[in-house]
Amino acid sequence: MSAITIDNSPQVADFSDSARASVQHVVSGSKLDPAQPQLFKLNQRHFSVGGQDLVLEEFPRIAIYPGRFEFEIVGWGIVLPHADHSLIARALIRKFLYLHDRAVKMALTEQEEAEWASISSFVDFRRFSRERAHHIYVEGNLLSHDPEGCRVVWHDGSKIRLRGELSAPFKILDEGERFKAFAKFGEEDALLDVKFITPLPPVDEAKGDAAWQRWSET
Amino acid sequence: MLPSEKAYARPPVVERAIVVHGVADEELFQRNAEKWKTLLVEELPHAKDFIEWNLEISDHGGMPFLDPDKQTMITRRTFCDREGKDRRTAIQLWQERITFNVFSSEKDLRSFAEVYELGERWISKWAENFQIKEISGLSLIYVNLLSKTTVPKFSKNNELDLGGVITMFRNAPEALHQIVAPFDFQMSVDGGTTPTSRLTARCVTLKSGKDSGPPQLHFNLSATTKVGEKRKVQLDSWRNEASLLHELVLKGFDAFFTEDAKQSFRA
Repeated sequence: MSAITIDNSPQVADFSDSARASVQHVVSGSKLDPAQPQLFKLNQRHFSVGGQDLVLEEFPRIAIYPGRFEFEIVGWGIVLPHADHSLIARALIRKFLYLHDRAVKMALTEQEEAEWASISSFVDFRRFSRERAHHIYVEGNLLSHDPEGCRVVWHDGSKIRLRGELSAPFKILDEGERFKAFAKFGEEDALLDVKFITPLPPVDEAKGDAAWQRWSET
Repeated sequence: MLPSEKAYARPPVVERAIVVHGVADEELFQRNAEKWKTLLVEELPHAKDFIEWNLEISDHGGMPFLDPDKQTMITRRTFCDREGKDRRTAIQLWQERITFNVFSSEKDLRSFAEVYELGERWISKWAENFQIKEISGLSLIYVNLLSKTTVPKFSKNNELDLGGVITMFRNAPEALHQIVAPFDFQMSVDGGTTPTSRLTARCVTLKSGKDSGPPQLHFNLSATTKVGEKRKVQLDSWRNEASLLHELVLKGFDAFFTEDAKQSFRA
């Protein structure tokens, strides 16, 4: 199967009018049907506006109807004026957040229910849930500092090596010091964020053993 | 050191652009796009997004077919110092490349040094913002406008003596020198350099003359080291490659414009 690509975009940098002047002619054998849209794939799966992210499993489809100055984001129930293409990310995120909130409250209307079924299948839900998760309370020990970062052992005994920005909040601690903090974890327990690190006094081993003894005897 | 441009008093160059080809991770690109905008806003306050539509026609059993999977739209982010035709400087951004553009006019001649300096100021910031460590090459583009204003000696009665301006048409019969639109062509030659490069000359009709007024053409000279899909080089190499490509474009300028035309640019 052979293919001809008609690419009217400036290949590299041409800001001038030459790209428009080089439009090639495509001859159609049949009349365009105004009811039949032309479908395009938006080459973008990750949308980010105002610090909120939405990642889709697939590239979204955009339907352009001949003679109408608007386009539709297929399966999302979103129709935007043609000039508002820069608002696609905002519209997707807003629609998803609105329906997600309604779904959590079990308040979806029949139409919203249908839209939610379609939209939720497009979205990387695991990723969304992870990023919306709250910080959790953690305790641990700072094992060591070094020029590239630090090493930490969490209260469950698991150890982690931190570099760059993630290690910065631990600079407040001395080596070997206990701490408490609020942390957010991602896939495979990778630390995504940590805040409100506070030094804690060392655990009194004798008191801990005595408490354990009393508890195990009851 | 930058290669020097010949001292033409009135070269027909209306735009110079350096393109750096380097792919950003999609997530990082989208997340950091806003930050990039805030970095640029002081110098280039006019930001606007454009959609590029790519159509691909497949052949299914002899019938042309627009496969919905292959029709794509891509966002191009542009940042200019001034609005519309008044712009002097711009940066354009895609996920896989960035361009630095400077625009010239009869009253505001610009130089390669200016576009180079723009790159010098922003390439490292672009790489840092989008965490781009390697690039796949560079392109340099010179857009020359051939019109009644830029080549007045070769324009007469709403016609343009293209054979008098561009060497490759000089030997066409005299009668054929007068442009009959559309008059578009494109050709590429191996740059013969290390790293491998390519020089492309492209002529595009903007206005065809006759009823639409005096004819106008763009004669673009572009050179690139982005030859081959898998090429990867250190970011810092952009400086050497920009100088190399500049020499190539100047050679192309020397070769493709006639002595008469170049003489008129010196005047």
